[in-house]
Amino acid sequence: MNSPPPIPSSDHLRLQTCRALVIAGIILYVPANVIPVMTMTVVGRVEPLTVLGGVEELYHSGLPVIAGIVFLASIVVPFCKLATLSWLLIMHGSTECQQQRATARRIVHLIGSWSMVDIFLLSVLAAVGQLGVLASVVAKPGAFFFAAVLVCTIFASESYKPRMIWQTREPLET
Amino acid sequence: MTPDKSTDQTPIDHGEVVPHARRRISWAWVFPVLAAAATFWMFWSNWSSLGPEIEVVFDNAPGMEADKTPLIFRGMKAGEVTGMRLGKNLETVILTVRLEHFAAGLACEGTSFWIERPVLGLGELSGLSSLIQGNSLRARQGSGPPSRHFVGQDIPPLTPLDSPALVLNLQADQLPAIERGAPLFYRGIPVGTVEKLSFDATGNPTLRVVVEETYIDRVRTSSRFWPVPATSLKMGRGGLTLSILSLKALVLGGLKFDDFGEPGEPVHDEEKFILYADEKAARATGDLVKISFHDGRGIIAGETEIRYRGMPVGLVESVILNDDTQTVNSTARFEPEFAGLHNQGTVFTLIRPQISLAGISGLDTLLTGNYVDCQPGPAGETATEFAGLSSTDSGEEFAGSKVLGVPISLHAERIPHLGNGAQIFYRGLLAGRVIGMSLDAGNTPRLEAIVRPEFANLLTQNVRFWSVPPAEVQVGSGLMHLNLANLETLMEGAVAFDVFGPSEGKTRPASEFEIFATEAAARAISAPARITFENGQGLVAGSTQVRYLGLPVGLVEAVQPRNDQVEVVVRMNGGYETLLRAGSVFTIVRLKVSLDEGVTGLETALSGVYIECVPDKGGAPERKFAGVSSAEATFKENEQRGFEIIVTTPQTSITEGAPVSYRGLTVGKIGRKILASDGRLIGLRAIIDRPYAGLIRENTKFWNAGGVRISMGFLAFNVQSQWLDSLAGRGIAFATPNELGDRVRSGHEFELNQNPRREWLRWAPELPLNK
Repeated sequence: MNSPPPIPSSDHLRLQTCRALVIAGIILYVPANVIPVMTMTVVGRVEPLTVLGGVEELYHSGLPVIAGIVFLASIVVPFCKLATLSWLLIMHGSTECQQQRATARRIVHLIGSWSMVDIFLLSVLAAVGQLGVLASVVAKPGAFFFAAVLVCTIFASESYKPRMIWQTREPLET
Repeated sequence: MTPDKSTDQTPIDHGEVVPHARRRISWAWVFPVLAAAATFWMFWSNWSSLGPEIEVVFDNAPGMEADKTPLIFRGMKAGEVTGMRLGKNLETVILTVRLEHFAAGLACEGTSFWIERPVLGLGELSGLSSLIQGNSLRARQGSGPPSRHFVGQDIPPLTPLDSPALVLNLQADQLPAIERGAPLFYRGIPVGTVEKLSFDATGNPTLRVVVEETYIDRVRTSSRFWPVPATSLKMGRGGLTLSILSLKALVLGGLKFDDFGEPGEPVHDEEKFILYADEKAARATGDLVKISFHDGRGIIAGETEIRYRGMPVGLVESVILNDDTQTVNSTARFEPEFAGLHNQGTVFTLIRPQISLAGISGLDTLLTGNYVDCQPGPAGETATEFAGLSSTDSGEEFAGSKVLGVPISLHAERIPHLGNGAQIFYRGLLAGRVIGMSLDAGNTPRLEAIVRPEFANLLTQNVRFWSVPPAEVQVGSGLMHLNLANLETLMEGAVAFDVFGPSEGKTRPASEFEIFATEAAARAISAPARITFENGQGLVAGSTQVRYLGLPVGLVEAVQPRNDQVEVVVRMNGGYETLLRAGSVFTIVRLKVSLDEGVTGLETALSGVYIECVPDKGGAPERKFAGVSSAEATFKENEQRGFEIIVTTPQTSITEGAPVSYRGLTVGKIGRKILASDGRLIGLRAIIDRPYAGLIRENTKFWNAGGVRISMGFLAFNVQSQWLDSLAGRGIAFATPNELGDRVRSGHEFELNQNPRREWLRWAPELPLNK
């Protein structure tokens, strides 16, 4: 094929949407990890927990496996998603590593359906963990930011279609 | 297919859309803007809620944790400990606390910080929440210029919320038992607490008291403070009153204050007050009055009251001997509203109890202590120096010639505890009073008493006096009575008298009597009889009774050992001397539990042992008896009405008192065991009840009955065990053949078989009973 297929005009919008969402995700990623996502009140003792703090807590309470899973799901995965999407967007239009990018996008897309598991877990905790005076779990603004990061990444990866990896600038200019 | 489709469509789309698409901006760019705004707002609001950072220095800071321990002010989280470090020389702990924005006001001088930890004290139970939430830092707001450095308090203040409303210093010569945290009451309402006990500059103990803000205006310059006893027991005519102020005061002590007289000005912080010894002292705030007495007996500084028409109006503050050692000077203070009572002409009389035939005057002093009566003269100038009188100055009214009554004297080895003025009763009527006590020449204590004239003709030689116990507990069968005499008897004791025995045969008048310890002792008027017992266990001189058919007829006067026996001196009540005859049987009845007879003498469990008397009908009067044991007595009793036979056996475990049965019916008892005439056999003397004597014939057969048989399978073992037998109540049984033999005489000997033959058990003769 001599000339690449023309780019549909909607893809420009998609690209912009994706960029906007990734930038928003990166911005939100900071408060999501700094602000407590929940407070655990155990026998009157109020303990605000950030995502990382929660992982630490789990690790110290003798649950390293669960701590690992949560760490993967709530810190590594969102970070990797944002990084991968950023990489895809930076490399957009280039002809390099197209195969790897396609694979990466597929993985991000695949993981996307699982990335809300953290928020789901938190909402279950907050609903179940109401033991009156003894213990209670309350979601904090951090959770909102965290969820927003995930929503951003999901829609970003959704709006970046696989075909856009192969859309290069050169044919457009000709 | 696909390339075709795309080539079909692209020319149309391409030409039209591209230029537009290049300029179009996605609405999604709103998201980064929103995200940035939200993040910024979040951080900004977090930052703006932060107040200043302060440092608090503690000697030690148990339970503090950086980034976790909250600073709590009025129950709200007002900050957080963000850091901890040790001070120079490692002597202090410095806590860094980040205050919330709204609590920035706490960062000012005067704010006190302390560590709330659980306190389980006597009077306080605080910081319980710390038990589960961990220790926390607390603050109480001050009102000084802003500051960043604070020194924490080691002890939590008692009034944690506000700055102390009103601090008072109470001074006393000696502090009563009062602890930190003790309540301060104003007319029963706790209005403050004791915060600190210390010494002031002059070395006097000082109480630092904090009064709550709401009650500040209750404290006036005229207020008087005194400690309250946590419990008080008041005794009066109305009975006993035990009052406990409050549980807290019980443990920590308490203070009270009130205004007497004109209320004064409101007070300022750090005002000094005097803590009075008690309420009476606090009430007496008026002028100092000096009263001199010839005799200061019964005046107690700080206790003796001054009364006007029975109302306490003042208190004696001090009693000192005058310089000329002839009079006693006392100083007293009046309550301010009664200041008008001490004018020229006021007569002060020291009231002490007085006893006369008419009764006791000043009896109230027995309960309340002596007091000084105040009789203001006609209106005149207020005076402060008086010469006091004494109510007994006029002489010993009750003694000597003034007495309108018959004097008598009562003596005893040991006179009961009686007060002067104790009442003397005759059958419940007040007949006289005790007026004095003395020792006569022979060192016998003696009670002097007077008896009203109308009872004088009762005072003959056969009158018996006894002391009435103030309280008496009577235990009867199933019932318990508590008798309390009247209040006067309770205080002073009482004496009663009566005539016992035959009243005919007028005896001559007398004025000297013996007084007995109890009514029962007084009733036992007969000449003493002596009874000897093997064992005198349970006999109590003065209280063990002699009973006849269950009725008390006498009393044990003395119990003493004699010749390895116990000799009991007994006196009988009037009319029962006839029981003391030769042949009368005296037995000690004790509680006895046995399987044969069950429980006997159960009443002695409550009343104590007693001596049962079984009189002989026609004996001559006798004064010496040998008491018998209970088994012997039963035997004797049976002997009188029974028919005696002797059953011989080589060896037996049958005990005295075992039943003798005929076809299961008990018709007699084994009286006692003897060695049979030739000495080879044991003889059991069986007493058969008279109605059944006809059952015993020459050919009657006796055998061992009862006992314990343990059967195993088809083999029957007769287990013989003395212990088991005695437990099961072994006896003997007999049967008489159908062909009746001759009747036997008393004392006939029979042989005891170990087991009955079968035909014996089938014997069923027709017997002429009761013939």
